[in-house]
Amino acid sequence: MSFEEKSIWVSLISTVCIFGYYFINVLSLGSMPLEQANIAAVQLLFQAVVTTVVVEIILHTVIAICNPSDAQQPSDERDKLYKMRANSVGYSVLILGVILTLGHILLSSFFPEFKGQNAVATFPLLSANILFFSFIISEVARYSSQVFFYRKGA
Amino acid sequence: MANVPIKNKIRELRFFADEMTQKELAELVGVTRQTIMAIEKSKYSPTLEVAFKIAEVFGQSLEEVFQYEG
Repeated sequence: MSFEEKSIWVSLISTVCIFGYYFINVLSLGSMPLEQANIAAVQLLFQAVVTTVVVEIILHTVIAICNPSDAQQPSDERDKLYKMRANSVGYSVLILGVILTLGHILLSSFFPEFKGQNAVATFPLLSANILFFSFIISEVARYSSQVFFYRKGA
Repeated sequence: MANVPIKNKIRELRFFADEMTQKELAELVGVTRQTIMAIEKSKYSPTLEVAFKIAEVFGQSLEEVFQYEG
């Protein structure tokens, strides 16, 4: 397994674990008063981002120490090709999320009753979280497809 | 995912080139060892540039190293 592939595995696993934990906790905030839930959601987001940065730095350092010669090697044409194809997969997923967020914002603006009727009205930072969830899913799709290309060939 | 339609004789050529390792060939061509392995197993089609470099390492023409079996 190349250094590049190990690095992608690290990013994939840390993203799934840390942001999986984040979204499970954000969902549980629905029962709190909205203002309080918003503050808690921002704190959770901050924790998740900091944890991701720290975990990625530590794990990438570990794999670089374990494979010093591979770590110094620049990406080659296969790495770049797989990265480009995976970016395209991730982009498609992200676009879906952006459309969903736009739909939610427009519905809330033009049909205020839609906002008031739903249980989602009490969900903390809803638009931001839909957008953020789409971003995380697109990242997972990007890493997964890259791993798939490395494993199966393309 | 199906293998790419471009077959090659790199494994055989490495054997006759004093059992050159994948790592040695990778260094000569400027790619990773894993990329040479993927090319050998027909899991990846190299760019023309890398294909020419591989052929050059073995002193062969492109057609002698790579065959299109589409």
